[in-house]
Amino acid sequence: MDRLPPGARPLAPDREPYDHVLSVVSGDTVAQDTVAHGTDHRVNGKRGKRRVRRLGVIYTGVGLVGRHRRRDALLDGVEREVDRIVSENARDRVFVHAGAVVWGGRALLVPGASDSGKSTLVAELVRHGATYLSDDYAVLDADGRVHPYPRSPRLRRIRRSLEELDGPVARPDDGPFPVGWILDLPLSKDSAEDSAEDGVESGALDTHRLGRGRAVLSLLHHAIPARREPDRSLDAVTRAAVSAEVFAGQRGEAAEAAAWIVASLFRSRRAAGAVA
Amino acid sequence: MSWLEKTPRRRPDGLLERPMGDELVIYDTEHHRAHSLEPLAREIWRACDGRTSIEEMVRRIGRGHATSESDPEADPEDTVVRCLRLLDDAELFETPLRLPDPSQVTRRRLLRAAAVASLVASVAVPEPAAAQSNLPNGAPCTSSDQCASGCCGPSRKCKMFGACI
Repeated sequence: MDRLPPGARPLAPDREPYDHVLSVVSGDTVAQDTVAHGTDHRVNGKRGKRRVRRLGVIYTGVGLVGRHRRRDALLDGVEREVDRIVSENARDRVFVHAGAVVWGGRALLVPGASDSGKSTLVAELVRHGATYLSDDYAVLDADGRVHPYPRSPRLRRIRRSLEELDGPVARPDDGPFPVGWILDLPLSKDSAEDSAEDGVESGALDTHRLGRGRAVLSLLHHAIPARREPDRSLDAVTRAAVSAEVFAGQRGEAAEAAAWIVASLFRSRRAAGAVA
Repeated sequence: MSWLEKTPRRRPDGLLERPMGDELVIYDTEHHRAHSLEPLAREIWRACDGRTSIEEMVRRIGRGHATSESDPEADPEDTVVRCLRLLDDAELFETPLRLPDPSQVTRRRLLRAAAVASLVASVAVPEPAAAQSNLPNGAPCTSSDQCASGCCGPSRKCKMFGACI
């Protein structure tokens, strides 16, 4: 159950119709009769039993969506598929691919694709004292506020890192939080290559402030329902960005980026009189 | 008719607009692209009502608008034409404008072009599956669209090089 999204609950088994059916077949090592399939397989020259490791498989409906050898990878795959279904079908929330933490009651969003490094950055921000909301989805309501979507972090090393920290993780009923900052880092490989071509020093976090319109573009680009429900998505992301400070820059090493972000947040809060 | 007499008209359908302070965000539901217009571009966009000529826009922009305040050397005609070309390239007009290429490529004009280019920013809005994807190399996949590398190998894992399915 801890792999299911916040708010998930069991339904009566006879409840129909289901919107989606996710089937999981665990992959165990089994003894298989070598002639079970009508073929005279031989093991060490003899007919008999052999040990066969079956892959764990995940189906959505009748479509195969994942095959995994290890149990934890299978569970990760199930979690990812459940998240995909939920994020694409949520009616009163807009799921945006973004890392999200809370600092002083305001959320910081780092929009980015799955492999863009936002998980690493989120873990570093938590190490610097932020509260973990999600390293994969910022879940926005119609007013653009962020709701916690605490899932086990995608990367095992991040998961371990958070466990070691015993880091603060927002509970599903915390918040919602207004967006205070949006960090638009070009985290993709392409962008990194572009940066290198542009002569931007690797490992440096060279940031500058951006207009909020650019932040809206970044959030829209990573908003799951944007194409199917542009009106609703546009409302949510514009409201999210309306009072946010927006920074853009080149990706740096995560720890350095986190330190810079934290320092900037302190500066801006101090300027606003929130920190003595 | 001189191109200065053209009266650009915004597309009447398929555009969702949201103001963001002085800026404007436009979502194009036909081409699934989103655009962010800086204040000057927003003003030019507002003038694209099908009645205001480009010449009139140039006059308005030239009359004490921000371009001349922030950049005394700014040429209002050049600014308006480049901005309209950006909006035209984004397919936001009812009929394409097909404005002439700015002539006289000088260093100053190139710098101006770079400044004007930042007036309009655009992004494509991907399908949900694509927005979801971008799996790292080595992750299980069923199609190349899912992978950040754009390649799902025959072994059904995302990879950078080689044959893809």
